[in-house]
Amino acid sequence: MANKNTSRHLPGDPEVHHIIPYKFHIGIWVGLIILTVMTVLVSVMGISLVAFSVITALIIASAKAVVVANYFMHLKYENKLITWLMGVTMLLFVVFIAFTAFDYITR
Amino acid sequence: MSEALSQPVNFFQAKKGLFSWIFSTDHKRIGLLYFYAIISFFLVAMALGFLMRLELIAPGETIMDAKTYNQVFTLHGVIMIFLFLIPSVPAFFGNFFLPIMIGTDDVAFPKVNLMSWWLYVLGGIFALLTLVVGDGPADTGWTFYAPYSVKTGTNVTLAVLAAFILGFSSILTGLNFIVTIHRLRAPGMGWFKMPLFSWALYATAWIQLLATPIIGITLLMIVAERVFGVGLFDPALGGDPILYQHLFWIYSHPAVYIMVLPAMGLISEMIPTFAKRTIFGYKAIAYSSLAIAFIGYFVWGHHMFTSGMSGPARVIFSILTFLVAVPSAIKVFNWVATLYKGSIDVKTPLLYSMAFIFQFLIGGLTGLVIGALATDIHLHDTYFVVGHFHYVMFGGAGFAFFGALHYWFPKIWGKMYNERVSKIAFTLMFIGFNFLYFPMLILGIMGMPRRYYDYLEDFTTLNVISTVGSWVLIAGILLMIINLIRSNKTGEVATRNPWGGTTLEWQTPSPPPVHNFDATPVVPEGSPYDHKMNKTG
Amino acid sequence: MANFVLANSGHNRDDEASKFGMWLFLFTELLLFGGLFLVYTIYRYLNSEAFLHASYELDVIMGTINTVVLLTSSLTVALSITAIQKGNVKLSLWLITATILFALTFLVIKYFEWSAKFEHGLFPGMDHYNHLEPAEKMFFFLYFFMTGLHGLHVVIGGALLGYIMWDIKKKEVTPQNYVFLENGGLYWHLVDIIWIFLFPLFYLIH
Ligand code: HEM
Ligand SMILES: [Cu+2]
Repeated sequence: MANKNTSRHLPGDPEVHHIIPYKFHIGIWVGLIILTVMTVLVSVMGISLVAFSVITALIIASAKAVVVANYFMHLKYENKLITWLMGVTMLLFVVFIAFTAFDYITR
Repeated sequence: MSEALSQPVNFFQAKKGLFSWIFSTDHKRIGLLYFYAIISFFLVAMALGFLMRLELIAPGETIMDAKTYNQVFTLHGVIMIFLFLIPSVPAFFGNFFLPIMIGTDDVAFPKVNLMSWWLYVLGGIFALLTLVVGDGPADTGWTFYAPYSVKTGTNVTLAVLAAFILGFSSILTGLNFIVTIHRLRAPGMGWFKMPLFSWALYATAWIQLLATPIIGITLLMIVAERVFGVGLFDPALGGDPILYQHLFWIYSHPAVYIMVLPAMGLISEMIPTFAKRTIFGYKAIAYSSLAIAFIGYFVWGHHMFTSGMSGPARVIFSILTFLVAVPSAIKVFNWVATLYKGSIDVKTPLLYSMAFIFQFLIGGLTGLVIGALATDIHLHDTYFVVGHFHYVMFGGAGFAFFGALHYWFPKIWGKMYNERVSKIAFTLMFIGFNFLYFPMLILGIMGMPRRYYDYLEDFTTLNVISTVGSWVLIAGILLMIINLIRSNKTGEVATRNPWGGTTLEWQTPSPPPVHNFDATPVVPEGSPYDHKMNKTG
Repeated sequence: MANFVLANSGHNRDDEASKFGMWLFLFTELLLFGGLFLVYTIYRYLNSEAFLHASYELDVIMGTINTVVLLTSSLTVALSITAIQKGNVKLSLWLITATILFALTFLVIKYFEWSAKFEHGLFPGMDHYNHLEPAEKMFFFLYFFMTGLHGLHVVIGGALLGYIMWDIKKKEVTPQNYVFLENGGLYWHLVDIIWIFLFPLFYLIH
């Protein structure tokens, strides 16, 4: 009959459930808060490292998103396949924006 | 496998009563639920097509006025696309056969599967509601182009919500298939041991998953526009209608591959079985499915050549469009090569497959004609386009669907269909189809615009031919359906493997038992289409 | 005859499959918002001045507080998974409760922000809004649409976590079988990630 007690295991699955320590999570959180403060400062006070504050803001936001995904969401400890597929999804998203923007830029 | 094994209870007999169906989590029952719904919608939309052709039998107002005609072609398009073609192959054949063909007993998330059927039903109800409430069905065309779709008084909001819900249903099906293929293949069923139909479904599932959300949000924007009237896509209010077209086609071009890729998978199943020969270029076909799915994301702009997109963007989209033709052509060459020197057994499913190749070829080549910038300027929004997409969607995907219906009829219902009648029906459909749509290609070149209830006197002859063709086609379709219903009652009992197929579904009784198999299926050592192995078994 | 059942049945427990399914679903959510980000990008490109001007109407302090609130809620839900992995069910429940409270805090702050906009008549159809120039209207429409849709996700995510707490109480989710909580967590983090992008794009165009 169907097995509900143990989970199926296939080759390529992570061997054990990775337990991330409490302290590590808290460290990650501190990092995220610092990045948030940075992005607000860059914008409000205009202390941008590069000329375009939009780009700085987006770089910081992406960094935060990667950190959340990798550690809070355990992406780093999952099957690599998920990371790859996430990459494909993001690639498509970039293509959607880039191709559409190309139309507007060249009009 | 011998028939002497005691026949286990099949999935029809396992439980009785309406509730045991509409709340079933068995992928086979859900597949059939989809089938009955899909075929009903098909017949409704077919009737609408019949009425349109009747209107066009003569110039001027024949049986309906302009607005009604606009509403009829919109409803026809919406039903054919969102309620028939997109779900047809994946949600019916995919649901029924994917788990069996990869040697497992269900999809990864059976409850989600049931939920996606319910969403489909809900979406269908919304679409039909547009008929009875307010100012009648939308009159925008199935593309819901803004700003007209924001301004018209007809039931666009309901129609758009229907499409949104159906999109959600399609996403869940795709998600389910991806996980199923990754996690549930039988021991020994490596990626390249999978039947090509599973490959096609896999590639399709990625489009369902990653393209559909874009149309979802776009349709929600249309609803919001209709409620708040911000002018997001209205040039009078500072918006840009071309942006709507981008968003719409970002989904809807990949969506045409949702319609045709699984159908190509069906052809890759039927041809080796009836040529009694292993498929030529297995890997090329498998990879070309992925390639089509992937490149399909980069070509949406070819629907917008005349709408005011920038010059450079048009050139790039046109070049990329020509690229997609390559993997499609690879498939066609491989099918033909498979037939070459095969011991061909001319059964009805093979006839449909042949018709598919012929009609898909016309559809694909006319696609290149309108994918080229210069010619598209002349042909855009003419009947050439209507001819083109019916050749691909109906002559291609639709015919593959009906072919597979015959191919798997014995497996699903456990009876053989009447071969002679089915061949007559096929012949009517094939002739009717080409008489219906080939004149449209010529009419388009002559300059007859699409989406009008009226036309110039000069176009009369070809339009009459086309309308007569629609009668022959519809007669064929009805005969086919009657034949299948009758065969289900009176046909011979089907054996496990009436065609000498090599994939796993032929190892199990017809109809399959509740858990799909009555013994562990034997996964072939080499190619999934190894016909030498079959000779001894 | 008893029904034959395959070893690789789809009805077996498969945590990896569940998580994989959840990730795929998150991809679709990302692209759902992706469509809106696309519209935003194009209109901001076409109307950068107006977007800049309109963005001054938004309250950076409120936005920042809300960002911190969501990040913290992400932390608590991540911690709740560590807790259940270590067998500390009680702590896990408390941490989920905290997450839901943060979700409510976020919504309350959003409520105040939105009502301030309503008082200024900036919602589509209101007085002030109708007198804005078209591009600024677009900004506010996108603001309401995107934060509204995000808010809806906050509500769904919070409800999902509440349901999971119920399941923990019923011992359906346990230290041996907690993939449902992991999936709830994944959904919650996604809500956070979307906000991470919404925040600079609307509040910080300075
Ligand atoms: C059964 C016989 C069918 C007939 C007689 C038929 C006939 C027609 C006609 C006359 C039009 C309107 C052309 C115009 O005025 O622009 C049309 C449009 C269309 N048909 Fe069909 N058709 C049939 C089957 C199908 C099938 C099987 C599909 C897809 C699977 C399909 C998809 C469409 C679509 C998408 C449109 C465009 C609607 C629009 O312009 O918004 N049709 N069809
Ligand atoms: Cu296209």
